[in-house]
Amino acid sequence: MATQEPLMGPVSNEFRDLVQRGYRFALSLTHDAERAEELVQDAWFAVLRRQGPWNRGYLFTTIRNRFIDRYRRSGVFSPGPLDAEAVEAPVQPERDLLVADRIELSNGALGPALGNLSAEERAVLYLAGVEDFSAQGIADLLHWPRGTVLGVMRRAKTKLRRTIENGSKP
Amino acid sequence: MSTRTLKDHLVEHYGGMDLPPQVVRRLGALADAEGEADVSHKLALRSRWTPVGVAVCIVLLATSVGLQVYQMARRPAALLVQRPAEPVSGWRAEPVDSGGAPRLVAVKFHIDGCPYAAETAPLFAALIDKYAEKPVVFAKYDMTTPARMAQSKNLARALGVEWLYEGAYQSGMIELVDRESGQVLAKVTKRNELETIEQALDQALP
Repeated sequence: MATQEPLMGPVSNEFRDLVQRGYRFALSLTHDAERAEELVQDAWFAVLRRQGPWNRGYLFTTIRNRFIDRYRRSGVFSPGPLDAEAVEAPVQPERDLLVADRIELSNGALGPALGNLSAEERAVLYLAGVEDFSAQGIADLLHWPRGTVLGVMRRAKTKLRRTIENGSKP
Repeated sequence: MSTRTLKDHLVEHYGGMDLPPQVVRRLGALADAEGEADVSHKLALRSRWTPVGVAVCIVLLATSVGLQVYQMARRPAALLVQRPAEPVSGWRAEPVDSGGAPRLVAVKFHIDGCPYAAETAPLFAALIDKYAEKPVVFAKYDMTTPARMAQSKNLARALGVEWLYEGAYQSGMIELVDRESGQVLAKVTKRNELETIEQALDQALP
């Protein structure tokens, strides 16, 4: 039986929730459990060293910045070119960002399908779908215009649907 | 097959992915020495005590400066005359010759309190013990504070491997480099075995 390290005391539910949310956001960026674990730990050290506030927005921003530092040689977190359809799409009500999209999926099919999206697309889906961020909230976090967020969201959903229909091939 | 909203699928997918509990506890222990990582408590404590802390620091600083000025004013003028500097015996101001330094350098990237650094610390210690008599330089790149980082970079410059710190690295990682060719011969993280770097060392050593 494994012995518990003496330094590790109990942690509050609030702290655990914050770190787990950070980990899942990191997972949406990296799509790799090991990298996400390293990323969230790096980000947490950065938060502690800067004595930053312990909240979701600051932690997520730090994770995003660390992700760019570590894995993006170009040093940018760009939405990429959006096609005309994505840009000119009618703006949906905020609360319906993802709720209205019904999708048929077998168990375990979403993970591989998400792997075919870019980090930016996964991050937008995660923030809207799991963290309930509004389009403006995502725009503020990622430093993009709100219209770009909606365009990336639309492109991500289209790619996801196409990937699922083709059996996890983009 | 299940037809649900994309939101439901995403919540289910990401909801099942958790950071291992031991990692959460480690981060909690880092954040709070008392072992109780309570966000609201920390936030409240910080906002309440920060102005008090700043005020106390200002008072202490002002008192210290005032005392020094008072002592200087009371000191006899003769004592303020500087004695001529004398050469320190035994000190030779000669540049360090690193020409004869070993070709191989093993560097451990380190941050105090980092769980990865803690996990690879025994590996690095074992490596030093095993190769203590061999022509290998063991160095630690300490990134805990800016001052330690600066000192580590000075050491790297002296060893001729300052380029090593310009690339991608992470706390806890151990790298074996050939400072002449600039080649990274082996890299060890907490997920690798120590044998990786030992094999590379055995091959590279004369």
